[in-house]
Amino acid sequence: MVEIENYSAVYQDGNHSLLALDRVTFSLNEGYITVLIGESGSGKTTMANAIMGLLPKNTVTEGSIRLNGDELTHLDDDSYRKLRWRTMAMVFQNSAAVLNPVQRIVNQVAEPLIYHLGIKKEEALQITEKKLAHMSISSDEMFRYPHELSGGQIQRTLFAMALILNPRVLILDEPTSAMDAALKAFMISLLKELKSKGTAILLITHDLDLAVKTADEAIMLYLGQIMEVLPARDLMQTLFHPCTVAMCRSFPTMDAVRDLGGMRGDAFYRYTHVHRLSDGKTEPHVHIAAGADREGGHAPILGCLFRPRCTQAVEECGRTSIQLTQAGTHKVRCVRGGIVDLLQLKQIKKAYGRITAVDNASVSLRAGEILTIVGETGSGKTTLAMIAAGAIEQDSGMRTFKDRTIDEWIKNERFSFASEVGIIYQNPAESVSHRFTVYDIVAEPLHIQNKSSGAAASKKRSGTQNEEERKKVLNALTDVHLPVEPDFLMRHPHELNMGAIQRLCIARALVHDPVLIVADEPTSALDPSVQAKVIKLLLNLQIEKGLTIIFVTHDIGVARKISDRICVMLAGRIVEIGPASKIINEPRHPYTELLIDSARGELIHFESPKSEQSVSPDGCPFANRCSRRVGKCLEMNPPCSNVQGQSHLFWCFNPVVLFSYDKKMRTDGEK
Amino acid sequence: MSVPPVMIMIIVASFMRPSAVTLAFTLSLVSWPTTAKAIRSQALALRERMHVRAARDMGGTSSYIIVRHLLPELFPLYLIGFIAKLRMAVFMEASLAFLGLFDPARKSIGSMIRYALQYYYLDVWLNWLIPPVVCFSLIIMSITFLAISLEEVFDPRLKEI
Repeated sequence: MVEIENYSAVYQDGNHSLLALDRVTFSLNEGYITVLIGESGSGKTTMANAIMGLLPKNTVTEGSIRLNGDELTHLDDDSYRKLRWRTMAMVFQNSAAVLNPVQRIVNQVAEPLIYHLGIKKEEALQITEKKLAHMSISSDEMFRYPHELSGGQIQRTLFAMALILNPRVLILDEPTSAMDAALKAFMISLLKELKSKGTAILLITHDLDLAVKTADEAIMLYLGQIMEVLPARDLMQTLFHPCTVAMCRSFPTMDAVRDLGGMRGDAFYRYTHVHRLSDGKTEPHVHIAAGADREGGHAPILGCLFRPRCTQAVEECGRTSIQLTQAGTHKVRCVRGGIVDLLQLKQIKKAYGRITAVDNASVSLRAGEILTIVGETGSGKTTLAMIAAGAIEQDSGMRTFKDRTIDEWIKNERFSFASEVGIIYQNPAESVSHRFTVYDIVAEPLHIQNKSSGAAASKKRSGTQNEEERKKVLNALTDVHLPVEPDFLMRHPHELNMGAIQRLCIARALVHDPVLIVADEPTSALDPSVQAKVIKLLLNLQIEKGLTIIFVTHDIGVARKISDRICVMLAGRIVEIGPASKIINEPRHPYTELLIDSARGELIHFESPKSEQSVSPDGCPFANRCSRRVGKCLEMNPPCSNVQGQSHLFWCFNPVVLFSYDKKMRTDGEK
Repeated sequence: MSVPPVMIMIIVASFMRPSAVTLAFTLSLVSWPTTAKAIRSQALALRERMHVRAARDMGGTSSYIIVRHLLPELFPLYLIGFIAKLRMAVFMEASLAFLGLFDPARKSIGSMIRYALQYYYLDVWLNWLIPPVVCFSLIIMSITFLAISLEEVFDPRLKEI
């Protein structure tokens, strides 16, 4: 119905002009809900206003908006006025300010009826009352003034107003921001009803939950550009663009276990302005204002806008101009075709003598995510993590990092690989030499690399190099919130507490500005309050620096709080891997269930092995302890299966089907 | 290793011209293995310590790890070994001189004690004996004290803040 093609909008403001929309193309169709998501300042409301013809006069626009084939951008105010309310209606964001404070709401809602259709006042009021009742506003409340209503009631009043003429196109700008959960449910059913009636709906929201539940198509806007177009049901689950991933990770839902992740860096507006050069020539270019200090405020004219905040930016991102390209059911604006695998481990095997530590494990790690490996002691989780970090060599299998083979990389350029990966070890006090000062500990990775870069360098390092090294060390210390006073730098580790030493280790891992951090039980030696601080610090660092983290822990409670994905290991094999929320709420492998139940304290006695029957080495490692065992569990390792349509994999013949939530309900009922 | 060093010393002293250099050389030749064994076993244990592994994971070369991690950690061990051997060497030189297996023209605490004991029938022998014996004890004691303070200087954990 409404087609928007290559639409750009620039707000003029004195010397600066703000580029609010940049060649946006999409369409609204009958009985179809399109949702615009994005941070504030990304141009969502501008788009809505543009469709309604409500942009300020000084806005420069380009491109076309067509309603049923008729161009809207050239319409004068009068013709537009005829379209508004009757064909296109909008529910505004700042609801309380939209209503006239000196009129009763029923009169205000009736207004479009009277002016657009010429219906008599009494009749109009009757229709209005019906509509308001439909919006569950009681007859008593209808005759109140706007200031006597709650935010939710005002929102519903505006809805009634927008719907009173049964428009074909409806634009909703943040409809649920003032609504509680119960009203939101009402809202969802209302949207579905409108959809079935064939209304074309543009929903602007930052409530991703609402988007998933109602919308058909989602469009991710960033600084006025469409970054990703995707089916709305894929939101929160299958995402391609790092920007969408970061957005969805930030949103709290009932079943996301790790949320409020946030996006690194700051949101900023794009300014285009004209520089007058000394020779009288002018040169227009774009500024990214506020907080974008990374490149002196100058935005790349070419290249990806999201680059400074991206977790997987490469040099190429800054050079080419990027178009939306089709990727499956999605459309993505990314040079790398969406989020990439930073690290891939394929069929890794490792044995220490006769003991198999890791058996045929395959994991891939997406850029910018936290993967937690959980499992009991001796399950090979540390070995797998250290193989990923390049600290241990595998017996067989492939491992690639940034599309390069790790083994070759280490062989040829040991140092360059070491600066890509930072390792945090289990026991902080053990992992630093107590003869080093704080400064030496953090600078050690730099010392190691400087020493060999020139034999003479160790003897008399030049002043600038020293200065650079010092700067890096101080930055790393600031990152982990440790003091940088000279007095502190000369301290020795035995004068610090465990938490501070662990921070030192984190600083040491960060000093080379790595991409990947491998943290091996970084908090198991710490008490709960220090553990909380260290974990929060790691999470913040992950977001601010766009790190990818492999986190090894035996504590599924910790894993629940921090991970994007969880990988459960048992006896060297991966038994289940998937998004953290799925693993925690709907575990499929009995062993995962056991881990979760025992973490919840619901497992009262330790189950000793069920039978004396020997499990063949090929059998499922959990077969002896498993209550869901079937005959073939003893002989062969179950093949990999996945939960329908999800990246949730498990290796079990007889998976758990009852979700733990239902089970909890059931057992509560029995009590 | 099982042959007592003092026997070797006696044999060497009786067959060769017993100069101070020969003495020092032979003494070090017979006394290093015990300390070396202790240091080696300690180094093997140290190699598996977390901070050494960390340095290796950061790309540290063997020479870097030896200089920056192993040598400082092993310092107390070879300091003690060195001091013990030093004391032993002083003692052994004294005993060789006492036994008369040493260049008689050279001044030595051992020969002083020997001469003092040769005149025990005179009244003065005690006055001749006591000064070298006291000196001898003082030397050995001061070497020990030196070791203790050296360790304090080089280990940050023992330093007064």
